Amino acid sequence: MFALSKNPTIDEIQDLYRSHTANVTDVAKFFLNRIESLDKDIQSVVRGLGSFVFDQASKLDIELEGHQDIESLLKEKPLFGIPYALKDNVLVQNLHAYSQSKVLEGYIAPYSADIYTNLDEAGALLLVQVNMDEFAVGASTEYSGFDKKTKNPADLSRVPGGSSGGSAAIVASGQVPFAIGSDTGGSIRLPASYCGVYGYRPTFGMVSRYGIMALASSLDQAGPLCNTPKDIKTVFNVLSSGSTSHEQTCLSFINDKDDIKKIEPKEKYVIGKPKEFFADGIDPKIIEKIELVLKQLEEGGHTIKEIELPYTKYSIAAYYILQPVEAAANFERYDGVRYGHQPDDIKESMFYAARDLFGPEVKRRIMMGTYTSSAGYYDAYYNQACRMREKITQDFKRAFDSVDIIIGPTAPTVAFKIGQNTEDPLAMYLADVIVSPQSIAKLPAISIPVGTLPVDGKDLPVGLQVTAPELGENVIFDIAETISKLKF
Amino acid sequence: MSSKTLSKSEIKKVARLARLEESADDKFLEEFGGQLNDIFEYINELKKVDLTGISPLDGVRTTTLIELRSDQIDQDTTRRDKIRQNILNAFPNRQGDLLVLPGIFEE
Repeated sequence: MFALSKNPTIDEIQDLYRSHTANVTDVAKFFLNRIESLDKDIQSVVRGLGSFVFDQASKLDIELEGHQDIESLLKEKPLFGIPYALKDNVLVQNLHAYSQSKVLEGYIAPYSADIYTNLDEAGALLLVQVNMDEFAVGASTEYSGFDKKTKNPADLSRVPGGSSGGSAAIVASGQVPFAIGSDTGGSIRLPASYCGVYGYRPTFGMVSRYGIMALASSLDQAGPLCNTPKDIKTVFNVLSSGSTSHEQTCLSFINDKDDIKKIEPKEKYVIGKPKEFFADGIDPKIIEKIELVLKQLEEGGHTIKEIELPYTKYSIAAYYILQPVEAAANFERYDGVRYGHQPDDIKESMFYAARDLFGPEVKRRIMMGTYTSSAGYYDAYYNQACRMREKITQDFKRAFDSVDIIIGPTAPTVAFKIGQNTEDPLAMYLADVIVSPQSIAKLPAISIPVGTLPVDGKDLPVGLQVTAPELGENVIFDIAETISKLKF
Repeated sequence: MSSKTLSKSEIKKVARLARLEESADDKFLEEFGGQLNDIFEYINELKKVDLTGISPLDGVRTTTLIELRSDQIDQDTTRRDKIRQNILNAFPNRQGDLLVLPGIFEE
């Protein structure tokens, strides 16, 4: 018999193995029981995995029993025996994956994502698959294609954010110690901010996208959601540990390249404070919380420097051209031919019948992307958005000449009410105003929980975002650790 | 600068291009027309910015980390064959080794 805290960490769980208090099957049962009692309110899980979990747990237990030296096992497999949740857009061979879309109902993954292979080789135990906006398109998880409404654990009448809302909610409520999400224009960081957990978007290219259903290929990155910065670092290192045995990965991994080095952490940082991230439109009470953190960092010897990122005010406009164009292209494959829903009649209309199953927001994005990349329009829209992307990237590059990291809020508001923005897509898009620039500029960024604000009798989490230059992962983990110890 | 609003016929044309034509009934045109127009008014702001001197490809040329994998077939034949079988098995309409598709020829 054992107990675990409300939000158990990787260390806490692995201590059970170190002390021989429990084995992996015991731990799996513990978390599945927790899920059974908590998730009826949160509604984050879209698919339990039945005997798959216990088969994997048994294999891990055989390894556990066969090892005299648990420490060396944990060193070799840093996520050994740690249960986790996967967003429903990540492929695991022979398991279902629908990206929460009716278009893929019934789909069984023919191969596994690189990140799943890495997690599996590191000894992690996949427990459940969790809710998301359909095809990762959305900021609240309300666009989930099977109408499953995931709730924010801090206030069940509010959204968890999106599109990785299931991932954020399941970690915030302590039902698993970590979850994997995907971030295209803020889809890890925004729900992390709303739910009060850490959510990390890596430098674009650090984590393989192979086996993750594509939304926008120049913007998508998978990443961890956890309750501590240490866990973020542990999970990230596993996710990005592509080795040369994975010949089918599409990106070079930094570990294989000698001439590309990650940026080293420093004792004291110069922190950029962009006026655009503290402008009107951001809740002043949120700004107060961020200022409080900056003040403490300054007292701790770091330097705060006011900076400008003038073109970031066009981020949303650029993002909502670039992303839909890439999404429209990536969603062309959902034509009912090779997989997914098949109508009874094989004729040309089968394409339409299958594609009619997309939810309204996905259709909106496809329409927007098709229009802005069509003949006669793509120079004014798509090419202009590409040019703007370069301007935004240059803004950050220039800023990083004089600062080490950039700090601001993650979101302009706390979590909004369920149903508040579903009829107003533009209002939904504006939630991404300070998380889309980093995606556009391909930069790593983390959302750090920095306390709560009292709203309607509940305590709603506030997120602080740290942005670093490309390859600044270790700097981010370092400053996140520092901030986690401050007063909020 | 005039704001661009999409006419019903333009929306229908885009729906055809996107193979969402089945959806483009009057309800779709009403609902989406309104929402798309709001969105377009917003992104039209981009057109007003002078970005001459920047090529749309500039960002692509300077990207640090992205490399394409080598053009090699997976050498692990067992893994490769399993994946191939899984993909073929997912094909909804099979007749033996033939995969059935809608005809695209006219009568």
